[in-house]
Amino acid sequence: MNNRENALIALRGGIPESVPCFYSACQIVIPGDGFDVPLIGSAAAYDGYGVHQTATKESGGAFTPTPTATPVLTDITRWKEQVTFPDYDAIDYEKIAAQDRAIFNLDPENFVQDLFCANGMFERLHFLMGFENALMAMMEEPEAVYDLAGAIADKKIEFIKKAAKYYQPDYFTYLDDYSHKTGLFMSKNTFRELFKPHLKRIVDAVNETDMNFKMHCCGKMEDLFDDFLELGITAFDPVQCVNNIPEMKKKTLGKVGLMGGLDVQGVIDMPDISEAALRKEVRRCIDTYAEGGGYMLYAASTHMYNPAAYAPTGPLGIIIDECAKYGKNYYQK
Amino acid sequence: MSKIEDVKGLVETGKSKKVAAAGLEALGGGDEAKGILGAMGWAMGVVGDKFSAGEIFVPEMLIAAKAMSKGVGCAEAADGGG
Repeated sequence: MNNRENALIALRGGIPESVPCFYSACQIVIPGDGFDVPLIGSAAAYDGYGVHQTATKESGGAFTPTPTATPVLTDITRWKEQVTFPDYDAIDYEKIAAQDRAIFNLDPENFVQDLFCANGMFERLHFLMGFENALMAMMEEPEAVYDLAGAIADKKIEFIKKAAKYYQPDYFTYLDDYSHKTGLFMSKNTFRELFKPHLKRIVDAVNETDMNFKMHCCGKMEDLFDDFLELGITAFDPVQCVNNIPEMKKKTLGKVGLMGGLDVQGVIDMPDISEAALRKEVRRCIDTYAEGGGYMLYAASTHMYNPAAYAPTGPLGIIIDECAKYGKNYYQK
Repeated sequence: MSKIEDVKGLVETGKSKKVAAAGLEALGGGDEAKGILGAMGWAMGVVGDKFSAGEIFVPEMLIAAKAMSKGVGCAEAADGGG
């Protein structure tokens, strides 16, 4: 059984041979269409919705809206006039998928192929408006927010069909952070009224393809977990340690895979973190979360897009090594 | 219910489009600007307590603050520009 096969068992909620580690078992696929995020290698650029984004050192090279840029959407009730949407049919996906396979050395025989679809409905809303304006719009003009979220979901569904045809990943990971370190950005009712119906359409669209849907939701998202499960979601990342993962696993074992656990803010991404601390954190995760399977070691770390971090002495290289040693044949002991 | 109670309720529920008019009505009804400001401060205290208790979230807090800001503007203007 190779790392890919071992990891797929865990992602489906089953009991693999060893505790899988995302960084050695999976490859991230980021479509090179420049729509949800600017193309990798750009320092700053406009995305497919006209939002100017900048890759910052603080975010590990990830793109976020440029703070000095004027928001695209200044009046939520005028979103049809103010927001432009990406045209997926204008892209030659056959060509760019081939380029992406070469650039990222994609190896679907040996690694789980995990396509990241960034900036879901909520994130796109605040990318368009600015964070505070988006949160207030959700309260003051919920009908307009619901409609805009629906239009964004329609675009995601267009892309889902392209992704299934041209990239054929194992997992389609939909990224939308509804929570922060200590709780949700909005009430459960607000999520249910504004976003959940559209999220169901997105999940269903993925489930109609050969891809599997994975929900990426950073922060303490456990209060939405039952809602997510109700939508038929069967894999989650980055399930951060601020959630009660052992309690969540009681609902998921044998059916759903959880990917996460590593303390990204307190350990993994801390500057000058020691090798011993990284190894200790890997062992803590395995001891606390791996029992019964359905678990893969992971953190949405700022190191993920830095190839040097995967070297044996780099933080991810150390995590890979410790997981391979401490988690080896964990389920056969 | 007195108009000042209306102002409190509008701030607490984040009705920023209505709070200025309610504030003016309260002033017109004889309430002092200082009293209206105090009522709005009290309402924000309630909002803060609800947020701390996990009963409301950041969006509700933000629209309450926006409503208070509108109300303060109105009361200050009525009070001679603050």
